[in-house]
Amino acid sequence: MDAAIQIIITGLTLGAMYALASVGLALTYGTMGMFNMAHGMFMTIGAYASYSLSSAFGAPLPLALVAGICAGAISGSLLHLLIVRFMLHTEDFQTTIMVATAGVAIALQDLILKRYGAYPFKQPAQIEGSFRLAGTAISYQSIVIVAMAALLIGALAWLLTYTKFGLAIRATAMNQDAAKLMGVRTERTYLQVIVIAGVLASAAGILISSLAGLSPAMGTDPLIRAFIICVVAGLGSVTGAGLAAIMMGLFEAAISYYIGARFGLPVMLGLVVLILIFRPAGLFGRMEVVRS
Amino acid sequence: MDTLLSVQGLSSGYRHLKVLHSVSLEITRGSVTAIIGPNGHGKSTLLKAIAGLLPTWTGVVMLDGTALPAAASERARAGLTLVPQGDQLFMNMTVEENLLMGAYVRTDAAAVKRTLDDVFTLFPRLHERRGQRANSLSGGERRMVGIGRGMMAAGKLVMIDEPSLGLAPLIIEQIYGALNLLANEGQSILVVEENPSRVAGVASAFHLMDGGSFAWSGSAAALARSSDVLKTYLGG
Amino acid sequence: MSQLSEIQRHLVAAVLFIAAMATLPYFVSERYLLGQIIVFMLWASVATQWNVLTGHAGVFSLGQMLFFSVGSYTVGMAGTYLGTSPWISMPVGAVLSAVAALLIGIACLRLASAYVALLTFAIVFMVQALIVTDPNCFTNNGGVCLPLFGGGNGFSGFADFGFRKLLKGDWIVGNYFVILASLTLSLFASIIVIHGRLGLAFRALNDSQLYAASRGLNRTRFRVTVFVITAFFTGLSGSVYAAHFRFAGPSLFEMPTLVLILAMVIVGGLRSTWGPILGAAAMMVLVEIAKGMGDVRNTAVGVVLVLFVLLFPKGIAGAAGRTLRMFRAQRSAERPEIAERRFDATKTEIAR
Repeated sequence: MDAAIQIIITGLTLGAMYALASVGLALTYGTMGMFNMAHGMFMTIGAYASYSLSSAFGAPLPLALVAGICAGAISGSLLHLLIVRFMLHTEDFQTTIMVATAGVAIALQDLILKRYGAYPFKQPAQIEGSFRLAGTAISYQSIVIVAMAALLIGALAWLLTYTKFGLAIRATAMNQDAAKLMGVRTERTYLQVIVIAGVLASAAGILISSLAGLSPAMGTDPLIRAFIICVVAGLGSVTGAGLAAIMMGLFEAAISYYIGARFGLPVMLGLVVLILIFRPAGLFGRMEVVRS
Repeated sequence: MDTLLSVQGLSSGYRHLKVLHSVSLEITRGSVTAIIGPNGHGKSTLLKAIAGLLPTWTGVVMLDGTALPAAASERARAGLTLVPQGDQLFMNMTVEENLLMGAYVRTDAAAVKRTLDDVFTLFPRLHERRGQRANSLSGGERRMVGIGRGMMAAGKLVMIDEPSLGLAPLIIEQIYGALNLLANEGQSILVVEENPSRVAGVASAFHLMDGGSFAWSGSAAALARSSDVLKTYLGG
Repeated sequence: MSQLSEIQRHLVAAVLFIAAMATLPYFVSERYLLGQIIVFMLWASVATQWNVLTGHAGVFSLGQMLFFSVGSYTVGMAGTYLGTSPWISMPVGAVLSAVAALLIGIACLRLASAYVALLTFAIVFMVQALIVTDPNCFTNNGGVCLPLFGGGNGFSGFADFGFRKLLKGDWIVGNYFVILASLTLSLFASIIVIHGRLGLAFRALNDSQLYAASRGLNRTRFRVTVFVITAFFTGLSGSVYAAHFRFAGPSLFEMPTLVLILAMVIVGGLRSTWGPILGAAAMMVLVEIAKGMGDVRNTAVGVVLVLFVLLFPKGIAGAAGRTLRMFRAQRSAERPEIAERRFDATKTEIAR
């Protein structure tokens, strides 16, 4: 019983972070066919921005959080305005954009390494302490993580379903030319989508760093997990990515508990490959996949 | 004559392949114009180029006396509506969401609601299916959504690409009945069809497209007199 | 020259290139420079294989460094645990890489291209994480714990080619020729694959998957075949690398290494036969310059990669080819007419 509660709490915390990390990735792929290798850098940048504000200027927690998220939004818009915009209609966009964003990722990682050093340190922007529920210790931070993920993803879901803005994003994802014919300025939609991805990823980065600490390469591990989640959900499926993230979080918590933390990723990956052998379009691929 | 759309010397194509050779076209406000001719000679290309989905290589497209910007989204905002071939619906949206996408650039919610009611009056079937996803509709219903979505923009000119394509004769009649109603209300329409007999009763001006330019142009009466011209191009 | 077929022309060029490379040690005596040329040849071989796989077979794999590492680790582990000479373990390493590729290929290559990239990337990362986080000691050499796969430090100091005894101070020249030999194998293999029957199959598959399938070409089987072939030569380069540096460790898996070699392929020119070799040379020079500017190596690689994707997506080879074609086009006057006639013939098919 204790083990079950432990696993569910750890799993939900992990799942919430994974969902934040992967939903933006799925949205960018679904809308514009772009797999962003620099998505992990949004996480790193968000975490470091919060850290800097919180440690250097002693900013209170909410302000540090907002600053980190703003940093993610700004990085997203810069990525679009400086690079993606010029590549959108070129040949082999799907491949070349991965190459270009991989270049961006290692350059940014190098710059952060030069500025902050290689050694990991603690994220000050977080809540300390814990309480007990049915004999299991639950940290306030994991409540913050789940609440923040639920808030941001809920806001995204509302935006996509009920607003004109969201209607335009979905229309662009389903049929770019038809969206243009309706008067949707698709180039602007792309910018908005990357900014949303930046916001979600930087929030994920701040939350992840509150558990795992900050280091220049901190974005790589969640990026890989987000990749796996998007692949198993079916590329471009946003709802699927959210659901798959929670499943993966619970699953990984169980594996860590029974076998050991280092086998979490390998077992997940093995499972994903197995799933793909039977469902090559991913678990939710048929439901709302936008591009194959 | 009150000219709504004026196309002068328009050339366009795909990548390195020129398809349209300096096409010129004038459309009178409140009229129905038809472009006819065999498949593969640039009729759809012309509509796409006018709508801005294909780049203009040479020439000008003017709506209401002002030259249109290049981007398709801006042309749509200026009042140019294209109902594309094969409907191009938003497959995972409901019928109603598809129709509302048509009114994407309109801000007057009450007016949008009135147009939506008009669409539902014209196509009662869509009212029944308004909560259904577009990918669950039949071909005829999809065409209705496509045309209804075009109406929702309340644009100055609606361009419709092959409204009869792939439909059963009964449904084609229904669709053309709807187009007739629209035309009678004063909507300016540019319609593309392979077969002139379908549009003969609706349109007042005809252009025959062959090899990327107009081989023949004339009124409904002139069309009736030149059946031999048509035979040459359409094989009777 | 005009009687030679395309493949023969490339093979002749390859022979000339290898011959030129073989004379270099007679002119270059500085050991550091020779060492850098060795690194160039190693990366050029990996980049060449990657280009065959991605540029021609259309498999966007991000797992090439895994195959390289399988080769390296084979030599490293055989040398450390069994004292095996690299001359024996190198071919074994290449074969093991090919086996790894076969397994991964069967599991992944059926999937859409983006899935392949993401899964191969994830597999590499997973293997690295498993190696680095291994807490169990396999041997305890003088109080130093060594996990089975070397843990975070990897293997070092094992037996090399053995030229130190044979050639004394000139041992590096011996290494040079071994590595040149592995580049030669890799280069010839790439030319044969690109311009031979396999390459033809890929062009057919790229032109029309449906048609190729109707002629009995199985896309996945061809993709797996090339995946395995390129992994073999990538693994061979990895095992030669390990024997030369007497090192095999998890740093080989790191993202910057992957991006550096990706940059070589892109900067040189994806799909061009000689592009990766040009690109490898260009990136080596760039890295040298960046090192001199206070180790901004990764930043420089990243920035150059982005600039090339944006400005010269076909790389150095593509830009050079375009300039050449423009020059030729200016000299021939009849071309526009021919183009016009061809247009008339094809427009009907394409205009919709």
